[in-house]
Amino acid sequence: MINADDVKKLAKLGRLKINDEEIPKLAKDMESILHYVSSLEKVDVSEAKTRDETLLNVMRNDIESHEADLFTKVIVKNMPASENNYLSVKKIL
Amino acid sequence: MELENLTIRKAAKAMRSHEYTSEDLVRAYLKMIEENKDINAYLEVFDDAIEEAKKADIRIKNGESNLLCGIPIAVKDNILIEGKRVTAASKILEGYVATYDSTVIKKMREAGAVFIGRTNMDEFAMGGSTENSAYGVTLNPHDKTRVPGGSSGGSAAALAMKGALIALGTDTGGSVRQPASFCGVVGLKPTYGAVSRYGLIAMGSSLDQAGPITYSVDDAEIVFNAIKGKDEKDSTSLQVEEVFGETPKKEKIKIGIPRSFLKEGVHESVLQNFNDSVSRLEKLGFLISDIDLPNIEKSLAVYYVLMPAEVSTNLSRFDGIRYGKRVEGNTLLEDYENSRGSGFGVEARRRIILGNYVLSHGYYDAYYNKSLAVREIIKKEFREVFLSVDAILTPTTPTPAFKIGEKTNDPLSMYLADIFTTPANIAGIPAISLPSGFVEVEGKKLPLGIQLMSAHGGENTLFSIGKAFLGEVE
Repeated sequence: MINADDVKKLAKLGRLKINDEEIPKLAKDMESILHYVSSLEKVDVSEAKTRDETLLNVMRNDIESHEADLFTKVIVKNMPASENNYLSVKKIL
Repeated sequence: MELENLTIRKAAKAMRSHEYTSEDLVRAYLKMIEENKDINAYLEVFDDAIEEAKKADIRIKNGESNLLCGIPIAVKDNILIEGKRVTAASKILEGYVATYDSTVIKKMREAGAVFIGRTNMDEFAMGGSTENSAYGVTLNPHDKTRVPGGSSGGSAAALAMKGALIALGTDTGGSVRQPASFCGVVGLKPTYGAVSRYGLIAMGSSLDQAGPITYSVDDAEIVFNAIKGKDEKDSTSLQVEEVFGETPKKEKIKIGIPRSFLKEGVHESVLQNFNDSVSRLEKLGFLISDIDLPNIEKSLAVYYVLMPAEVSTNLSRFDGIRYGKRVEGNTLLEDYENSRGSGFGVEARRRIILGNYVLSHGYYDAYYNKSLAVREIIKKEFREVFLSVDAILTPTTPTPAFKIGEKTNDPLSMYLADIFTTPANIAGIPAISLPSGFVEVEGKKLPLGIQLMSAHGGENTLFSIGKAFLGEVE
């Protein structure tokens, strides 16, 4: 069962502000989706390869990928608030 | 100029025999877009489209042989074009301007294609109807009370209303094929890794692929060949022929049908059309047989665990701090929560929360790891089946296009529209949707589609069958 507290906690983890009114609907939708995916319980996966056998990370070489300042201007322009090429954020201390 | 039945080859020929220019062609499509504004296929028409067409005309004049030069293309709003706005149809990216070209765009630009605008979609490609767009629903040009499908609904509708010659979409669980089916056009999801994902706004990174939406299979093949290939900027991209080998040309292509998968919830008209399509393929000389894929029906459940898990991870980058929309609060935490809470629509929020759930300590094994294991089982079953058949045939969707609003209150019923399309994403195999006729519903002719899947790297098999099915001369 998914209850209102679960939804609130998961939203908090996702840094999402949600309205109290939408919580019951979210809980109900999650219930029905989780009920649907619970059909996976019955699948026998004893012969399946494990994640470690099938997935691997690929890293790029740790080198400078482009010359400095190439994108600074356009990236700063996309910032919601900036000052002298720096991103402006709230004080956290 | 005749836009009806136009293809890349016809347009390329006409532009080289001075019948018309790329500029003329772009102007003709812009006129159609203007006349069909109510469809809401485009979020923006680029003001430099004419200028770019003129450049293409010069290239053609100077002997450019690339067929795509001067061809007008519509681009889904989650594919980055340098200097253009891109929002993934979300409020959270309002005002954002792409800082670089995605690889698919870079390749199309080099080929000389003319970008005419960005098309509407479900927010962050989450949905099957474009009803989740923050910028209003797109209407199906075949029946304006119905959805065009999604998430690449704008791209498919743009073609159905003759508002572009070709379009690009992205497909995570059917988002190219399902709208192509609803709108009566061709849609290809390539082999996972065949096309670089660099510069696509990510949804489910282990599932996403960009693909063409076109009027003909030949057009889809031309676009696919232009955008495919290994890209150092996407470590999952592959030189597919090198990895999986070239598909051999065969005298007799074998097509398998997973009959037991077609039973539940499939609309009568869809089943009728599907059986007619099977007869057509048999008459064309293809060998048809029944096959068994015992766990293929579990693909959708696997998809609804892995996809939200990847969504909750991918969407964590949208924080209201570095780019996009920021809604201030009293603290940094409130900045995050307000920006994300008001920036993401209902479906995005639902999937982030669901993803957090399946990735939580205590549920991780039961949902996420279990789904990865079932995914391996499904892949194994496909590999085994492709030892005996060259392609697998299903309907693309269980129903024709549904009514606007019909499924918005019941996400699970919306998800079930993807039942036939998610297996290809789960297995990473290529799949194509082909228009297969119409069904008359309430006095309107609604398009239907069939889907063909092939083994990894088997796009050529799909093109061969597709061209034969649609009567395109090879």
